[in-house]
Amino acid sequence: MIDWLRRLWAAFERTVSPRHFYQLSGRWLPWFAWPAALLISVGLVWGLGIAPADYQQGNSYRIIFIHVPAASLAMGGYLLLAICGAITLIWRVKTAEMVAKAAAPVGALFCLMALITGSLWGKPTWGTYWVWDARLTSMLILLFLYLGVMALQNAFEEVSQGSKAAALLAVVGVVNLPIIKYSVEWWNTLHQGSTFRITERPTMPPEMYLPLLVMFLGLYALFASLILLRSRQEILQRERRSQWVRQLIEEPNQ
Amino acid sequence: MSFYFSSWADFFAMGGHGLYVWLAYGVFFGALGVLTWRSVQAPKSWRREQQLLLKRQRQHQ
Repeated sequence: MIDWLRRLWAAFERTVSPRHFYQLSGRWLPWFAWPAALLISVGLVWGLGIAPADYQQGNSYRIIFIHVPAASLAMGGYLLLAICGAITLIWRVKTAEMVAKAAAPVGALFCLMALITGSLWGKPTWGTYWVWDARLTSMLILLFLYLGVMALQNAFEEVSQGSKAAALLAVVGVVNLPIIKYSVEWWNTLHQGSTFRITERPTMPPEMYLPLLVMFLGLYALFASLILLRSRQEILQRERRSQWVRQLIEEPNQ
Repeated sequence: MSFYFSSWADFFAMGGHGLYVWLAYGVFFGALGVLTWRSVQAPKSWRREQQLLLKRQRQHQ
């Protein structure tokens, strides 16, 4: 049993070694990048031109097709940072540090975009760009957490040390995620309730939630592509002194 | 499955909310476009840089 576990662990370590992950991610990348381009194009035409207007909000509601996926990715991206952080701190897997460093700016950008598109939706709908209510404030805190993680990742001479400090902040900051999620139920807020629930039927008609679903999948695929692409670059930079990266650099075509 | 608006002018006006809708989409896809472009370009320029570095190291030896 112990021997079997040891072999399983060795196989896991091989799979997540930077070199192996580099090869693996190169094979995965097109499977995310092409669907992303296709789904986002379809979602744009569908959401902006074909879906009907909302009977209360008119056409401003069309911002939902980018706002909701952006907010979801901001939270999902942070969860990814926290998971990578836990793996970094517990098992000291180098690849997890690299993925976290690649993911932080992408997640931060989606968080900023959720805030900007939200405030551009808020103006015609609520009459104001910003209110200090629970949902908006906890989302702003998420942006600051992202910026904190990014600052720590780059604050140390020794890259690995910065990654460990950032990993700790990422893990602790994860308590903010349930606060964001339930903020619309726990406190009185201007923000409307969730559009999607996994366990319930959607509150929107299919002409509206289908384009939202398409955009959701497209932006998730784009997010995955960006993480893979940036992780690969992070791996090359950190491993640039190793033999396999040197060989890769000198290969004429790639 | 057909165009919801009665004209292109209607489409751009978005029922009077055109400014908010188009600004939101513009900022969103503009920012994502820049991030994607930079993420694609970074490995290429880094590779060129490293190739030069290796070449120079070899010349010094």
